Amino acid sequence: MTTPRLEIDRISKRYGEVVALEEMAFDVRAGELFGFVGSNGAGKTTAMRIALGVLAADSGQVRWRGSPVDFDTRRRIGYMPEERGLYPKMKVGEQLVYLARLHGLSKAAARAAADSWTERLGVAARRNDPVEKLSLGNQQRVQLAAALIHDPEVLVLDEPFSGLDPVAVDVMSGVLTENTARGVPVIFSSHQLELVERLCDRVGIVAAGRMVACGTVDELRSGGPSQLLVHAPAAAPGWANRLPGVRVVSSDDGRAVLELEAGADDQAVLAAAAATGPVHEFAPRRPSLTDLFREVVTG
Amino acid sequence: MTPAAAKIVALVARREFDARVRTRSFVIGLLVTMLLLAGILVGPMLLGDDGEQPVAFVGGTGLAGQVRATAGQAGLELTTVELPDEAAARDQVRAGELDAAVVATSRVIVESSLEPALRAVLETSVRQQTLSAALAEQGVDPASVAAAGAPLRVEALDPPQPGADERLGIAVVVVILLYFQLITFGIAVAMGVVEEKTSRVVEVLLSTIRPWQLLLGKVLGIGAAGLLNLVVLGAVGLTVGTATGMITLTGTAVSVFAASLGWFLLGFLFFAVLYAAAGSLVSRQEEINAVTTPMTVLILIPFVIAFNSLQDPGGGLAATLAWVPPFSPILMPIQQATGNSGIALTVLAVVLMLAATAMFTWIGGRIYANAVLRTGSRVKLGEALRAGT
Repeated sequence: MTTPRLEIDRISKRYGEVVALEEMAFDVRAGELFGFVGSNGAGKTTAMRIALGVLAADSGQVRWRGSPVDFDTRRRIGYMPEERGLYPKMKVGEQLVYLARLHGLSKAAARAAADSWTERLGVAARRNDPVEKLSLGNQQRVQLAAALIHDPEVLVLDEPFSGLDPVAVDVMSGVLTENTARGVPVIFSSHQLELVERLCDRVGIVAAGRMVACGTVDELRSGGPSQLLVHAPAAAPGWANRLPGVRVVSSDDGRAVLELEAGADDQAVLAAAAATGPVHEFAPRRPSLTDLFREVVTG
Repeated sequence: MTPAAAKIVALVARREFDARVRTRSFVIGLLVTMLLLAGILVGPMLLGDDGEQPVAFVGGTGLAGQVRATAGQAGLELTTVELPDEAAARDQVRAGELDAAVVATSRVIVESSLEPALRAVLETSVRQQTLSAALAEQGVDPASVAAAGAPLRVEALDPPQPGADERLGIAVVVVILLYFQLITFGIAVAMGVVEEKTSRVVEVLLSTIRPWQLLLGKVLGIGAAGLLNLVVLGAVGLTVGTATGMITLTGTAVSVFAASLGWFLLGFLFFAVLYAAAGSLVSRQEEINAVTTPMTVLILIPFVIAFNSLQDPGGGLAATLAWVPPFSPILMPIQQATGNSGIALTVLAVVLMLAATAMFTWIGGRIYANAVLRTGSRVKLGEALRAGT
């Protein structure tokens, strides 16, 4: 049997004249942490809401384990919407128990789940406070607890890291990787690209309702032309300008980033650098996710 | 409904009930209304004296017996006391312990003015006594004269019902209660829907349960809170009213009140889904007033008609509209309280109301399901009716 997958199969959605999603397609495998990045309004939230059935697509299909996601499947998905998604005046503990029971847990099981998740996420002391009395970061933790309360088979989280302090970011990433370790596909959107790069197995970059790049971070980063970072402190500016097949991307205080055409000889570059004096660093440079993102979104 | 679905609806209803009833504002609101209601019932008793105090007679004139007899014929309740001297009588009148003091047979002492009814009784009594004395002097038996001049027999073509004023009073209180109940708890439904939209809880909920389950649970939960409110107010009103003697037609009062619980439920079911639909169109609490105005007006119309019809509750517009949905929940209790509703009319009104509720629940439920997940600017009614999410 193949690994269970959450498949987003060519979903489209328009609001009147505005195209929110166009043939958006990707999949998330069991145990995989999938990062969803894109500028504001690119369609990330729309795609997630469609996956959750909170919104209906105009066309396309969302499948889990090979069959279309229906109402019963959705009940086994954990969802954390952007902004808030809790009753402001309801107490933290009661709220979690309520949501757990709506998911079908018994009273006792719901209480136990609420207790253990508030404990795990460090908000146990706030169980009897109304949600609105908590700081935004703590509300976010409660929100995560709400998404996890019923041991979901799939996790879909919209901007789970926004507004969290570094400690909370660690707690959040810990919980997410823990879930992938037990075979749950986790999909989350974020603007914190370093975090996505560090955490995710695979990344999808969305622009204007389309998936423009999708793959592992390594795949994405090695996709572009190869670059070299050369640190030759004694070199005169412009030392690399005349090398064949080489373009200078940036040059700053003896550190040059060079882009090599296919077939260009990197050893010739090293020799030319060594000819200027000592070479402290000579390494292939791979674009960061941020670079890629900029390139994809602006280009 | 499957057992699982019923359980979800029950869970939602329970939360909604708790969320209303366990707030300070609900308790304070209930207490304030209870005090107001008790004030309406007890106030007149504390302020007015309504001829409850005795009338005193000074000078041993023997007039008291004659006055009691005359008052009895006129249907007035009157107690009398004999006082030895005028000074004591003046003091007691001033202290409000006496309504009036009759000195000899020629003077009456009152605090500010002599009530016309009492004046008539006293004047008749004095005249009667003088006449009797004169007749006795002439050797004629006063009783035979009295028999010859017996009071007129009145034949009324449309006799007033006993306790008509009290019935009207009960009707007014019930109409006011129902009006405020429907508006308050209808708005509560709209506010609850908007709260879920603003806080995006609705997204989390509707990824787990279906829109109709959330809507039904909400309506039932808030309806139960409304019913509790009405039961407490009614019980307080009936108890205080009966204890203070304001309510003497206890049977009528209890049955009108019991029926008003039913009318509240019918009216609430009709309006709650519409209030929810209206709430689902907007995303901010500030916009609630604008979208709920049609419902509020529909509740206000029978309220105004009710008050304009108090002169003749059994006829005219109030009686005609009493069986027309959605006016019947407010207008029917008046018909019942004033003794103008038959079983047939009541059944007709209930059936029509249920039919209207079924139809508008369908429309309202559709609007709600289509609009409740669309946050941001106000959703157009036409779009909400058409769109498939």
